[in-house]
Amino acid sequence: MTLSDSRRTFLKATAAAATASTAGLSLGAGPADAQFGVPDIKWDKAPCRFCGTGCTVLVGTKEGRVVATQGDPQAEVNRGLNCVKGYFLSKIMYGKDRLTQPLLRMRDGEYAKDGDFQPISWDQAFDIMAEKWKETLRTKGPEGVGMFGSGQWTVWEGYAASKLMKAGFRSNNIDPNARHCMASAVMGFMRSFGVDEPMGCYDDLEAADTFVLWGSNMAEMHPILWSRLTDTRLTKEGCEVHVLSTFEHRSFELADNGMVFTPQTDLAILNYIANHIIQTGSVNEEFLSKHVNITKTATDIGYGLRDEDPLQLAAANPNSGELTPISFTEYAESVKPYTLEYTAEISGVPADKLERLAQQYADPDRKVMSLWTMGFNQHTRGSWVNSLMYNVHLLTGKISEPGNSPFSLTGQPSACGTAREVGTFAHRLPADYVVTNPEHRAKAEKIWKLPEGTIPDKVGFHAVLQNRMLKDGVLNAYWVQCNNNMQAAPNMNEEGWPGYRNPDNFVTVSDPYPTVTAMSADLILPTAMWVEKEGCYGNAERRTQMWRQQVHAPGDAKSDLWQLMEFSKRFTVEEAWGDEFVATAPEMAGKTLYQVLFENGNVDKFPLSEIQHGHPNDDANHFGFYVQKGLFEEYAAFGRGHGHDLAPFERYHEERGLRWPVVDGKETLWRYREGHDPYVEEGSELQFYGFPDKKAKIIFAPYEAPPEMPDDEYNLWFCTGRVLEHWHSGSMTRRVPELHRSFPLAVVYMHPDDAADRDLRHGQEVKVATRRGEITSRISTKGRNKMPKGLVFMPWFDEGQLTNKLTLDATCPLSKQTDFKKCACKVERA
Amino acid sequence: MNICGCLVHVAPERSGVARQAMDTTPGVEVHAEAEDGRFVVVVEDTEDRLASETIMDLHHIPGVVALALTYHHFEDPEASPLNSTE
Repeated sequence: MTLSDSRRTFLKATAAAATASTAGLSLGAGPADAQFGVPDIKWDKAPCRFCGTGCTVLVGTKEGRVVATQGDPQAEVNRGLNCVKGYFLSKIMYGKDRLTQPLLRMRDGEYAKDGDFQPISWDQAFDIMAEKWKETLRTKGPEGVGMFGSGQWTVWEGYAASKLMKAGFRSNNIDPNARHCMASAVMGFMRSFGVDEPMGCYDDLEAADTFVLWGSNMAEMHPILWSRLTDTRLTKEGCEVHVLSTFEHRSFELADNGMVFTPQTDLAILNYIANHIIQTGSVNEEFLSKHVNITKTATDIGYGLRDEDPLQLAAANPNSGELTPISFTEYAESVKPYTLEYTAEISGVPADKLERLAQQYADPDRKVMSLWTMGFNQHTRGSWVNSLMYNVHLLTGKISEPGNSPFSLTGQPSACGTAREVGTFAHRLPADYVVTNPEHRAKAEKIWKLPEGTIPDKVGFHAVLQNRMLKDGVLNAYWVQCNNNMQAAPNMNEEGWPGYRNPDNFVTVSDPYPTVTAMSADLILPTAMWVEKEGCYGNAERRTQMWRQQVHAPGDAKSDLWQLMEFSKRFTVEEAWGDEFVATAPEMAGKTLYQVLFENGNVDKFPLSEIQHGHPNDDANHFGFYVQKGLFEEYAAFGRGHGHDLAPFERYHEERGLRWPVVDGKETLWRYREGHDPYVEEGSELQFYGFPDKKAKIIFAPYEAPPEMPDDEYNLWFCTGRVLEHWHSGSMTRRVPELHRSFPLAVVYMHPDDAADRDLRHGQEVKVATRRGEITSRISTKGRNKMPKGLVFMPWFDEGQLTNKLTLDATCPLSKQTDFKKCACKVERA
Repeated sequence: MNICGCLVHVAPERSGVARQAMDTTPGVEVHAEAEDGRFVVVVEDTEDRLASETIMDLHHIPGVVALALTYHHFEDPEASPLNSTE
C-alpha cells in the first residue's frame, strides 16, 4: 500500500507541528494542533509500557486497533516527547506469535512434564493448575507454593496477587522481578530514611547545577529524562555533568567530567568524597546535628550465595545488616584512609577528575543531583553503596530541596507503584508495612476483613532463593506473571533451568508471548497487555498514573487480574488454609478464596455504572463490579494518613499522574521539607519522619572486594546491561520488526587491544565462558560503547545468546539483589 | 509506512556540521532550527531504510547529544518490508 503524496505531506506537516509545539518552536504556517490533525483517529492517554520514567503517550486507535502514538504535551514528565522505544510502543501488542489460548505440556491427552505444548481451554488450564496447587498445599503446606511477579504488573494486579498469596494461600513466597532491579535502592532508603522512594522529583532536573551519573547510562536507558538534563546543561550557565561508569557509554558525550573506574571501587570513591568534605571543612554542621544520626554497618557479610558456599562459610557476619551508632569523630576516622591518592590508585580514575567531582558535592553554592540505576543496585554491596551516596548528601545538607537531590531511577514502569508501594516482596505489605511486624499484619488483616493470624509472620522466598528452592524441590507449585525470569535471573544453568524442569514441580507462566520463561514452563496462560485493560502504574518520582482500556485483547488472552481472581474461585478456605485455622474463624467456613478476598464489601463496592462511558472494561464486566476501583480504594486505605496518601480513584483518570503523598488534593514534590511536605511539623524546617526521632542515618561502610574477580584463566570482567533499542529481555521490543532490525543480535563489546591479544577482529564469532557456562556471540570493538582494557560488556535482550547462563547468582546480602555487573569470564575464538 | 517527528538536541558549537549531516541523510527533513541547538526533524521510511534505522543513524551524528520522538504515524503494518520476528 502506498500513500498519496498529499496525505504523506499532510502527515509530515502534522509530525513537524507536533514536534515544534512541544519544543516551543515556531514553524510558521501549518496545522496548529497535531492531536486533532488526523480526523479518523481516537486519542486517549496512557503511561508508556516500558521503563520507570513514566512518560505519558497519547494513543491513537482506529477500528479497534492502535495505529499511532504521540508524546503528550500535557504530561509533566515528558512534555510531549517520547524515546525511540516509546515510538514503537503501539506495535508491541501486534507481534506475529501473540499467544491467544492456554497451552499445556501433554502426551496422550494428559498432562506430562516432558510432553509438548497443546492448546486447552481456560477451564482445563485451571483444573490441572488447581489440582497441582491443592496437592502441594496438602503435602507441603503454604511453603510449597509460590509466585514470581513484576514491576510491570498494574497496581491492582500486584495488589490482588499479593493478597491472594499472603492472605489466600497464607504464603509469603511472592517476590517481583523488581528484586533484580531496585531491591538495593529500597534497602538503602529503608536503612537511611525509614521510608522507601526518593525525596525529590524530576523537577530537580531543571533546578540542579551539577548532575552526577553513578552507574547509569541515562542517554540510552532513560532518554527522556536525559533530554531534560541535556536541556539544562546546554542552557544553564556553569552547569556541569559528571559521569561515572566501568566503561565509556553514550552519556559520556555530554560529560564535562567522564570517569571510568575499576568495578566495585565506587565504594571507595564515595568514601573519598565524604573524606574530602570533612577535610575541607565543608560539613553542614547545623544540618548534621539537627537531622542526622551517624552509624556504621556490620562488615564481612558474605555475598548472598547458598549457605554452604565456601565464600559464605568464610564470612564473619553473613547477611548481617546490624548498625552501630558512632560519633562524628569515629566516622571521620573511618573515611580518612580514603585519600585522593589511595582512591585514584584503587579506582583507576585520575586524581584531578576525582577532586573535581568531590568539589561539586563540597561547594555549598552548587546544587547537586545524583542519579543512579543498575550500576549501584546490581551490586554485592548494593545496600551499602546506596547509603554511601546518601552520606555525601547528608554531610552537606544537600537533600530534599529543589536541585539538591539524591535520586534513584528505576527500570520498570511500576517498580515503585506496584512492587514497592503495594509491597509484592516476600517481606512486605502495602505502604512500607512488613510481614514480620505483628501490628502491620494486624492492620492488613483488619483492612482485608480477615481473621487474626491469617498472614504468616515468616519472610518468604526472595527471587534468587525461589529458583534455588525450585531446584531443591522445596517449592513445587509456582506461578510466574508478567516477566521473563528464565532469561533474566542469574546463573540459569545451575539454578533456573534445573528448577523449572524439576519433575517435582508444576510451573505456570502467564505472558502475551512465548518467551524463554514460558517455553520452560508446564502451563502457559495467554495474557492481555497494556491498553487491553484498565491499569495503574507508579513511576520513579512517586507519580501514580492511570489509563483506561482502549482495545480488546486478542483471542482468549486475559489480564493477569482476571487470571488471579478466577483462580481464587477454585479454592475453598478449607483447602487453602486447612481445617485447623478455619476452625478459629467459623464465619469463613465453606467460602471460596474469591469470596473472602474479593467479595468482601470493599473490592466489590463500586457498581459497573461508575465505569467511564465509551471505554471498554472487560475485567469489570466479567466480574460484575468496578473491580479496579474497588481494589485501588482498598489498597489506598493502607497509606492514607501514613505518609503514602493517594488521591481518590477518579482523580487519576483526570490527571497526568500525581506524586504521593497527596494530601488535601495536593501532591508532594519534595518530601521531608517544610513548605513542601504536609507531614513536616510547622517550624521544624525538615523532618526525616521515617524514624521516630525524625532523623536520617549516615551509614559508614568500607570498600570490600567482590566475590569473583578476573584471574589467570577467567581474565576479563563480565558486565551485562541494556541498549537503547531494546527493553529488558526483548520479549516486547524484539517483536517490533523495526526495533529488531536495528539491533537484531547481542554482541560483546571489547577493547581493541584485548581483541588483538586474543587474535580477534571486530565482528568475529567468539565463545564467552565463565565457571558456569558458555555462549557464542560476536565481538564489537567499535560502536557506541568504548571498553577499557580488561572488561567486556554484553546486553542481555537476545534470547539466542542467554547471558545469564554466564552470570553468578551472588547478591547483596541485605537486599538479595543480584550483581549482574561483575563476574569473571574468558573470551576465545569460536 | 512510518512518519516520525523528532526533536534533536545538538551541542550548539557543532550545530552547523550536524545540520549538514542531517540534511544529506535520505528520509530526513529539517523543519526548524533553534539557536540553542534544538532541531525539529521529520523522518520517514525510504526504499532502503526504515525510519527507525535512520533515527538510530541520527543518534550517531557527531554533536547530537539527545533525540526524542514526539509523533509517530504508521499505517498498514502488513505492508512493512519486515513483518516477522525472524
